[in-house]
Amino acid sequence: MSTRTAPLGWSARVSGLTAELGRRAVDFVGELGAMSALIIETFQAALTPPYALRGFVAQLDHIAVSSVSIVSVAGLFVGLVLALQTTYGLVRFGAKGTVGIIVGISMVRELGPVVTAVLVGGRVGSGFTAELGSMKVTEQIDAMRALGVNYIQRLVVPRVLGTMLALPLLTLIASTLGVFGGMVIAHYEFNVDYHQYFTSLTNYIRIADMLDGLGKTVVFGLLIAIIGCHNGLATRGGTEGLGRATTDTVVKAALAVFISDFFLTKFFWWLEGW
Amino acid sequence: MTQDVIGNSAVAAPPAIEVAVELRDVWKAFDGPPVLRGVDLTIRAGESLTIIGGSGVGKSVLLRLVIGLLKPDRGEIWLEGVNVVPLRETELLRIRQRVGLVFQGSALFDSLSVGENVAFALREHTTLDEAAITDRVRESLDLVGLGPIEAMEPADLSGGMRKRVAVARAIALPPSILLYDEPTTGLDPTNVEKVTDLILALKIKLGVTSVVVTHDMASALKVSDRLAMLHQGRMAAVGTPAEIQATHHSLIRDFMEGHVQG
Repeated sequence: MSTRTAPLGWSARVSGLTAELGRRAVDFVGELGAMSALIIETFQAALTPPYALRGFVAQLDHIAVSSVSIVSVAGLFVGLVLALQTTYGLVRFGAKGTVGIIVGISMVRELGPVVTAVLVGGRVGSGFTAELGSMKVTEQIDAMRALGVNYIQRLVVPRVLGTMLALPLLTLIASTLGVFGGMVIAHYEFNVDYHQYFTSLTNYIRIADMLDGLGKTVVFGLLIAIIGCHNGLATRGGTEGLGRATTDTVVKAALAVFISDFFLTKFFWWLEGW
Repeated sequence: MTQDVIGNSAVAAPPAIEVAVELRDVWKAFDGPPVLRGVDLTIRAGESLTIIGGSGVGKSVLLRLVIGLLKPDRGEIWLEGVNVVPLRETELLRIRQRVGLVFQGSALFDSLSVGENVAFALREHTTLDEAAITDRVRESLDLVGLGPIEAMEPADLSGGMRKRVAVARAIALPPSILLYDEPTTGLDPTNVEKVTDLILALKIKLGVTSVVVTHDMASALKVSDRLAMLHQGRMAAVGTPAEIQATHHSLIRDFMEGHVQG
């Protein structure tokens, strides 16, 4: 007897696909709602005593120290490559002297913040998911609640605030090293004078450029930490579920950075009067 | 199924007796048919009541509902005169400071030492100085029969020791109600005996109301003033250990002989 089933018709396939898309859309909206609720709860808890100052300092220290080396290396090499590629193009127009301002603006306004956020998002965000997810599956979160402790205040607030402050600091390091790396490579590869590079940078770069870049990273920090904490607290399915949640955080944090970057750039332009 | 009264023990408590916990028509479901289907139960202040029943009948869910870690779909849960069902998490936090819960898997904070675990609630809810906290931690560990193990990590402890540290953590901030979720599960016979004796000793020394969830009948009979059997989402029977042992109630006899399924 044959067990082969008849192939699905195109209308059944389309309706199946539509149903799946609909289900995913509902899940996405639900998750967005849950994350928004977590943001509100986090800020409410942050403003309610007792303040988790010790936890905040510990998290800030942990995030900044654990990420400073990778962020520095990434920032430096992004600056090197950017200067190489840019000067290569500028030489054709005889405008290699302007490489400083191009590298400077690119690093400070865009590449420094985004590269730092993606790296920290992968490292720190997934770390939050692993920590909180492990606490969730071993009932430590419930134990904390049973002891009358607000777990949002104790666990989420320090991580969110720590990331929101650590990210601008790390970005500052990455951008500075990128600009410095660009200066060195422009000098050695294209004979761009250090003074010329530096002058083109300081003459045209404005405080607003730096505030634009650093301001974005505060929001990136919020998104990364909320995604990491939310995925950890929502972990289900034991260690296998924990693995899935951690991977999910890396992907979602990176996407959140890229998508929000566009809107934040527009927002800061609007603030600057563009 | 209606709740059966065995002997006179489940007769409604006289008004003079203070009620520690009361569940009224409590329902709870998780993505499927209800686990609890109208549970009614009254636990008097100072008594030790054990909830027995097969695996998966909702015994642990009941404890989580009592302390507000879960919300019922329907019904009321009164904890020392306060209906906890409509309360928000922040309001529940205050009430939970008077209730200790010992988790089935101990749920010790694995990033903290034993001493820090026991001191956790003291640091969060009191203004005691470090010396007083250290004394209280020592006292709590003494009460559960553990030596000076404050510096040890939870991962270094045996299952029985972890359970006892979990009890020490639950009593460090003196509770008026202690909830035990399967306190003897997964322990060797010696540790089962130790934990059972500990529950009994704490009831006498601290005068707390104890609610124990277990399917270990020997332990249940030893520590309880009354036993309540949860079956098919409801309290099937309530009685004293003597009444339970003497009953001809088929469900209880089957459970004691190991024939009841959840």
